[in-house]
Amino acid sequence: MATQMSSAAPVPVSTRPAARARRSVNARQVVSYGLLYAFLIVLSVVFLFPFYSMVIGSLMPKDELFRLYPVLWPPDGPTLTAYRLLLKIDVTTTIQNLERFHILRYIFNSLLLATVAVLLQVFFNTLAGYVFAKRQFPFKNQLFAFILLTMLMPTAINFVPFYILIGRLGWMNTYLPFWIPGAASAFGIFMMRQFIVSTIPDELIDSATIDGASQIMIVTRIVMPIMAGGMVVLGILGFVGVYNEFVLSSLILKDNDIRTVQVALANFKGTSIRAPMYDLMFAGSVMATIPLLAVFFIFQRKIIQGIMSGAIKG
Amino acid sequence: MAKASHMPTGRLDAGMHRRQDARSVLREMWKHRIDYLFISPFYILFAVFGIYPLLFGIQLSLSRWQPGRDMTWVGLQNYQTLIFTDPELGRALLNTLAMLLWILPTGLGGALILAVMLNARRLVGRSFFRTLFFLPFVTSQVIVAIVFQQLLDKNYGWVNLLLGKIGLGPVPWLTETIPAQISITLLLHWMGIGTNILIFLGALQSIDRELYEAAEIDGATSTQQFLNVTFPLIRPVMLFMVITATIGLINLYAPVKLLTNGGPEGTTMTLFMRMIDLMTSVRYGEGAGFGFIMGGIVLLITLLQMKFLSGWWTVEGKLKQ
Repeated sequence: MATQMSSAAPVPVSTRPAARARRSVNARQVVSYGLLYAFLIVLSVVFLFPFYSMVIGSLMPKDELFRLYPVLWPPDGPTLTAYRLLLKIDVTTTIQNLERFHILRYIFNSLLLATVAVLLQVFFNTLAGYVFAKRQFPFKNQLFAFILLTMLMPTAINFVPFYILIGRLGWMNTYLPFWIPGAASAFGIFMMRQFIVSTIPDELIDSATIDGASQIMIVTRIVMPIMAGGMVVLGILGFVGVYNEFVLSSLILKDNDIRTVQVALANFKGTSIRAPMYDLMFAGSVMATIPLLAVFFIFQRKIIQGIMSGAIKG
Repeated sequence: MAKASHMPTGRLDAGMHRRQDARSVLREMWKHRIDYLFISPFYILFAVFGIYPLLFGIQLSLSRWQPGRDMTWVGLQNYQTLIFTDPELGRALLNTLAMLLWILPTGLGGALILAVMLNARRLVGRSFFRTLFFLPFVTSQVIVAIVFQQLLDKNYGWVNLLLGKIGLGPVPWLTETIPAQISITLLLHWMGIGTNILIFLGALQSIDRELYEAAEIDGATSTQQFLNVTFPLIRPVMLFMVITATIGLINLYAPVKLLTNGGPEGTTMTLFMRMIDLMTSVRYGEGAGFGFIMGGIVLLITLLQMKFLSGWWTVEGKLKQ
């Protein structure tokens, strides 16, 4: 148990108290652990249920979703009709708007948008994070304090004029508003600086400098390879954020061909509560979530550690 | 710097010193030009996309303007309309404050209780539960709104079916004020509680176990241990989370937009939604003013939280009692 814990937290936990506690197991503890498991398992079911209802809903015929009593499993077995409709595989449909709804295109758009945004973010934030972590130069502290101070600026305060600025730059219906303004962020610089301070020894940088390496070489040949793990954490947090972003993209990406999958799904849903096409929306939602689920399961440990340790020390 | 030693004494000397200093600082800066180059993107982007819109927003909020027309100066008229004439700002503010009052304690309190449970010394499957509660992190607010809309559907949803089994409902979850607010709360908790649990777990696991052993030897019950050891030590993390959750709630947009669209009759309208509404109906001057009012509210609430929560329930405070 103790090793399991120390793998999650940077602070090692001594095994001695655990061993002592194990010896003193009594009836009261068995009951309280039993209640704890019961509670956690019930809560897990509640937590998983929305996922389940999304997946199973995407595999049900439309009518099944509008029965007076919802069912856990489609009575006639699961069907891929909703996916075939969305992907327009050998079906003809009379559903309005579906002809113009290109789910794969939207997912591709989202992936493109998020990937470029994240590559830029990670590069520029690592660059600045390195400088603030390892270099000495005039006004360094003031410049860094200013970066931290900008984090206090409320999003809403310049949102309307920012939107107007995007229009004036001719950036409506482009991905530039998601790539350029966020390429260097206060949070990212701060996080990378903390990572670099605690990971890379000064001597390494110093000896490289003495050997005549230029700053850009030090960053690309020494810092970035060592910091790959930290860059991945920053990148994934950024990727999830940008991939799921809605406010700005719903206002800027109006053209059908350029929409992200979030905007397209929201648009397909509409804002009225009347007769939504749940089967299609669920199928679209499942397809839109798959890329992030994949990322999540590949980098699960890194994400969780990033949030538990690095991200909160702000 | 030391080169000034052969100079005449007195004020002139000090002046020379300063000039020499300034020059050597400039020389030092020139030597470090690559460093400045590496950090420059942030400052350039912040100037263009942060400061410039801020200044333009001040002008805009004091004007009446539509694209392609001249800007007319109207003084504080936009602010007057927003604060005194338009009922929406007050209503959205009240909605937001009400949501803060019940979402913050339930969300953060619930996350803390779950984190304490997951931190139980001999829990098997800790990382399984941790991952499971964190899983909603990968979903988007749009998709969650779609799923919850169906779960909460008055006629065909699971929630009302289960409530019906115990003789309650059907509850019009999305079309009446209080149920709609509860729906939004449920959605936000489902999406966010996993992240909060992780942050609390990180904080809990950084507490030295020996403190608990010492408390145990002194005969403290587990409740006393929580109140006197755990809580004071995770308080800085708590403050950080109260502040970030508050800012997140004030900027709440997508779930409400998609789940209730601010209805019924504006009772779930949030501040951010109202601002976007003003913007999309090309009332830019008022929208910019609304942004400044919102910014002021955020800063005020944050400062109040820092002032009142930072001295609250500290280790020292408990010791004094």
